[in-house]
Amino acid sequence: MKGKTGRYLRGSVRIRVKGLYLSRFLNLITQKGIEYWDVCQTGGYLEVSFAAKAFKDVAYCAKKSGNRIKVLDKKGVPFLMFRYRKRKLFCIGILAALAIIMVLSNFLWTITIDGNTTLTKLEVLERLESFGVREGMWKWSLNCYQVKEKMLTKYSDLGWLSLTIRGSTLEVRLSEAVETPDIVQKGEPKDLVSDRTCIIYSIVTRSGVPKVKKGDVVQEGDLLIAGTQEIVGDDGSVTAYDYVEADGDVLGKCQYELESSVARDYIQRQYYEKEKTGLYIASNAKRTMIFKPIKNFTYYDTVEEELFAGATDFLSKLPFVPDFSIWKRTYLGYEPSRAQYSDEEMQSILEEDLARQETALLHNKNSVILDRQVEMAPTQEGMRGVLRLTVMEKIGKEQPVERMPDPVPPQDESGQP
Amino acid sequence: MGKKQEKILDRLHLPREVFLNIPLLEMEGLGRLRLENYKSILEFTSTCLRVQTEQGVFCFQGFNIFIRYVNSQEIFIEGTIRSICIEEEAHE
Repeated sequence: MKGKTGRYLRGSVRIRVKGLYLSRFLNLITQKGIEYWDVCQTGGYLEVSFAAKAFKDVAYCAKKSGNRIKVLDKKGVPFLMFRYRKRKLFCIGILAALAIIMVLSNFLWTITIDGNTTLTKLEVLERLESFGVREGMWKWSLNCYQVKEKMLTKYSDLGWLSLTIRGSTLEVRLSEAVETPDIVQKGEPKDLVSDRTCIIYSIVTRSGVPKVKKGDVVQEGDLLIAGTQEIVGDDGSVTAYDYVEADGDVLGKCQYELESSVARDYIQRQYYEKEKTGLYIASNAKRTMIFKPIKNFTYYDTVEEELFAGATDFLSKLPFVPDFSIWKRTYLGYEPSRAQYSDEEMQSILEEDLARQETALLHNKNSVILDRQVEMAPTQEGMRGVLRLTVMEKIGKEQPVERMPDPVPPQDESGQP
Repeated sequence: MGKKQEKILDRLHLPREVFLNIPLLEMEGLGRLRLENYKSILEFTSTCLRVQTEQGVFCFQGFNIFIRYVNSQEIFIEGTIRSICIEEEAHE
């Protein structure tokens, strides 16, 4: 190997030559076939570098030419090895570390998943595992293209999938397939039927034939606006049927009854002042406790909080680092004791619960509350509350029209239509 | 004999400096120089380098002159070379 690398591997020495016959010295070492470099003259001395193997010959030439030499610097692998001759294990350790890194980099240590919305990471990992792809596998045995094709064929909820190996990380990018909604062709004839039991409050028909009026009581499934129009002839008989898309706004008065109950007796928790805290690392579905406190109380609540979320997200993106998070678990010990709610407390709890149920029921419905009645009654265990709502809201759902058979035209005495 | 040799070499398109041991000088700008086929170094200082060749003494003058590399065949010189002159053959 030539050049600077070769010189470093073989070792080089730089010397300073003092004397009167510097040129003779250079000619002597040239005659001996010794290569030298970086020759410069500084203040009457000559500095020259040459291969370490040739030092004996150079020293001989210097002596022969009447010059004195002084070693300025020794560079190269032979000198490095001599310097660390008592540190063999250190060198072996470095080499072993490099070898371990080289071997371990042939395995897949992290699987990152991106693009999932309804599918959880765990589900995607389980699907990959069914095809033999998991963390810790030999990465050269993975055929990304084959696995991708098989997954797309097997799972219809995957619209697009990409598997890429970057170093020791498998990057999975996916796009979930959007389920196509049931398409109702605009213009297709359909009826408007009731979707709940109520009293008709108002009906505004834009197309179709209204079958109910204000004040009628309808059950679920009753026809509100018909998409079938009868075409009546001059003689008053139905000659044909015309089918349209029934459209209109039907408002109905509906009644809802919501119930809730609460027991008078309950367990009161008197929390201790001292809390116990533990730490654990969560990686995929596994949890490893770093620090587990000794809990000397029988009853306790557990509160968990993620720590250093930003730092762990950043570290998880680095190579060789699996996806992980650090959590703090706090144990709040308490002394349970029996207590009783007062009547006012029970009423308050019931009202809160009924209000929650009411919000959930009427959420996004554009309903108008016409009447609201709350009844609270004591029971053997505690108290029971009933909320009765009278609500005005839009009702009706579309359903395909039932086609009628074509009417038979009336015939005269001769048998002709 | 020398002229005959040169004629043969020219006819056969062979490099003269290899067979006749004549000096070959390559210069790159004013800072780098390579001299092949030299006999010995007569004088070397930071301002002057005198080299003995088959056809005379080459004298390189300038400043900050240093020898980058030497082997038995060639010398690489670096520095700021201001003049190159060829002297009559001199004795060491």
